[in-house]
Amino acid sequence: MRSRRTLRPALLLFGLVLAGALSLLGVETATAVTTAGPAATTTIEVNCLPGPTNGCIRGTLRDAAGAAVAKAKIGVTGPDGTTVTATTNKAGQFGFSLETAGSYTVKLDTSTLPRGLKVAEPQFSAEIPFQSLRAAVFRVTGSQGGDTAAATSGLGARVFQQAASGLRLGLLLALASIGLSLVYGTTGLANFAHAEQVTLGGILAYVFTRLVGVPLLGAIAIAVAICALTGWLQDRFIWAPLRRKGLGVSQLMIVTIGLSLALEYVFQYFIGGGTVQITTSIQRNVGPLTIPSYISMAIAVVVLVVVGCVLLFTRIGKATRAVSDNRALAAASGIDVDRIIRLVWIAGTGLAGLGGILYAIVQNGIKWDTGLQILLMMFAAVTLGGLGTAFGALLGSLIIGLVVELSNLILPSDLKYATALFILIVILVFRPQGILGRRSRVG
Amino acid sequence: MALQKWRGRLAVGALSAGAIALLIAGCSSTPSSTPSDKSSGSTSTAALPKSKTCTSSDDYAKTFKLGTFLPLTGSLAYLGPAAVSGSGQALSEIDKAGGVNGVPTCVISTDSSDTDNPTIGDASIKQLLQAKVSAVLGAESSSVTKNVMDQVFAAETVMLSPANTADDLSGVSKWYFRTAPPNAIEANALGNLILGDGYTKVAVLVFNDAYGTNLRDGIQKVVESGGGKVVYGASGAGQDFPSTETSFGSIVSAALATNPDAIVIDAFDQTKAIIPALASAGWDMKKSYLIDGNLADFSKDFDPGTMTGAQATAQGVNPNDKFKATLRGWYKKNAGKSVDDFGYGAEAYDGTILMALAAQKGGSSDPATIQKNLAAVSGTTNGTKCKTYAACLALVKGGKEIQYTGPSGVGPFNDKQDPSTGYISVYKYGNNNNYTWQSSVKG
Repeated sequence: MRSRRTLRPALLLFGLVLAGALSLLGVETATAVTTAGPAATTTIEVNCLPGPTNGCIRGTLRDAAGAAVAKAKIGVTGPDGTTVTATTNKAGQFGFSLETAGSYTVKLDTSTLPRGLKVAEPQFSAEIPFQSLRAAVFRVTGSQGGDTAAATSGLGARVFQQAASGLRLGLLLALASIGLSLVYGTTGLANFAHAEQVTLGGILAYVFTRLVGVPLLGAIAIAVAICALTGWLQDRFIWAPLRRKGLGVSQLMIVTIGLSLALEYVFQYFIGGGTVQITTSIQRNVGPLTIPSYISMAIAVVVLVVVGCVLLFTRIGKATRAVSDNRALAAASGIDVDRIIRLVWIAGTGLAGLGGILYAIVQNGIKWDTGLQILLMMFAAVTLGGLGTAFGALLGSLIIGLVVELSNLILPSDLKYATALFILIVILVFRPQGILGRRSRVG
Repeated sequence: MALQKWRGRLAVGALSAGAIALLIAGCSSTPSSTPSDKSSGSTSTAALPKSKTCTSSDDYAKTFKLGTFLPLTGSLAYLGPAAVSGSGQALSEIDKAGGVNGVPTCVISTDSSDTDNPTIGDASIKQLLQAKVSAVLGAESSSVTKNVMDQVFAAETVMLSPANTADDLSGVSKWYFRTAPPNAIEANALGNLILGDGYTKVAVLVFNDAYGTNLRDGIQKVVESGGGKVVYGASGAGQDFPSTETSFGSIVSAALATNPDAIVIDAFDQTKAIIPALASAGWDMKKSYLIDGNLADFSKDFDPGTMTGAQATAQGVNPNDKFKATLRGWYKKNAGKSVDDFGYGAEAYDGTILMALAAQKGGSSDPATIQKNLAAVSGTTNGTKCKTYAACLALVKGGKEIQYTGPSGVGPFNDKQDPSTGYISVYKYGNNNNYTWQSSVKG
């Protein structure tokens, strides 16, 4: 009984080792022609991994088109002069485990190559100590014909692909930055903490989907509602009182910068410094983008059109534009300015939250400082389009999105944001009010 | 009175913000605590208490005063817990063994943050130097080290980094040491791994931080000397992306347009957004390689199967499960949180013990004594090998020369005060998006 108990694990272990060794050898590695003495110091091991008592030579033989070259013979001559020859498998792989440290010569037998393939330097020598992995690379010229791995993605495809990414980025920026534009329009305040409203949306959606386990759509609804609530709270307890105290716009702006920094570190405190994902599933691209990307873009378009129409055709919209144009006059004509501003805050933060959620979904994650990273692009977008106009924010965002995502076609990637901001400066020099902005009236 | 009211309202606003914050906190703490509970259950020994925080009465000649300068916030914050628990566990063990020169150690913990927040690191270093610490343990990011190192060297204080891998930090000052092998060693292992897998057209998605570009340069050198080519992200090609990048669609399109055989993701936390972008574009993750900076458990981030077959290299031997459990236990007890990433934990542990042994050997824990004796205790004098502080302490007290060999596996310091030998481990991702150790390569 006792011996069986000790034997069984031993047998099992032996079986495992054997299975492991067999799988390592690979089926396609052919015969080893060895002239070594009793202890062969070099063995054929396709997936050789170095250890304390062996070094490895490994490689994969491919032709110029990238296709694997099978059945080619490769010999390794060790320090003791013995040669071990392996044949490349179907995947073109070969490998040797070397149980003596020293200098080895690797030679490709060019006569075993398929017709049309040539190797200029079929031989090299290298010092292989224990615990080292040395790659054996032979540069093969010519291809085995048949299917030449076609370059699938030409320049046209790449431009199309990146333009789609740019459109996506632009629409999401527009959604995220429309609140920024509206708040500026109605109160004259450049709200730096708007970036954190965007981050908040993404983080809340993460919290509700991943940590609480609410289905995605429900989580989005809850997150947007909470974001809108923060807009109400902010205006009720911070901005309205400060407005009533008659604080200047620049002081208010400093308050928003402070709030921005404070919120950022609050986020970091709670979710840490890493990127968090709202969804764990990764969708394959259908056309240039993923399905969630198309849905997000559609949501952004619908929401932006609705906001635009509300501003143009409804009473509240007209009142908002009135406040935006001339606050004193709007107040004098019986519009409750404070109520309009509060509505703008609620809508703006809610939309920013939605923008953040969609951004996190399509850009694969959100971080404590994601909002801050896109804040400059948002400011550029709304300034470019014309501060205070909804459609201006859309147009500006689309331009910025396309420029950012397409610029690496001709410029270094490092400059992608610089390019967008450079275009902003150029346009503002010629059209200071922005593309769709109106010149401020005098009197 | 008006002011009173204003304050009151601000307080309400702050309270409501706090309520939202609490809501997030309540949710986020639940899942992160579960895995650590499970693992801490497996630790057999009780976690040691933290060593005391230094007070102004502690004199660095008598008390070993360690100043930790580790990323507690910022983009590298995910690496913080490993190094904090590594050095903390080391100090606790030192205290348990009787302290340094018979006096219990003390610690001042500061935040190094990242290169985007240089003021935090600067303030932290000033705090440590003002408190006259025996030695500084940090920073993790090579760029952060470069930002502050002149102040540390001018104050003649030892700075030992557990994680700096930039090649140009070799021999930068007699006060600078590190327990992580420089990038060149990892680049060599990774380059050979890629070539050995038969890939010669390599795209590198690299962020423009000293760490990323330095490693990229090393990989490029190895790949080119092996007959391969870096087709995207090569040095000087201007394809590096900014470290604050959040949108990877166009970067991935551009990289894939070069038809690479293999892709190296040379980035930090941005990896979490890059992997889905690559997978969406149809890239085969088997041909992807990660580095030490982003080697992490992605099982919570992506659906199973996303990363199957991807490989990674990282400095150091694979920290064994017992060491990991010890760090988890220490951090759970003393910080109340879990450790998810173990990158550089063993290096921080070894660095702390080496400095304490150097102080013990020299009979004083002032920086000059530690500086003078660090090389000797690391093994340059061919002393007796010992594995723990207690064992080494006994030998030092007996007047013997020692060679401390800890869990990180780094060899004695060379004349540039880098580890003379270092191990690079090769890891492979499985179906669960977590990595398993394959082998260790000696550099």
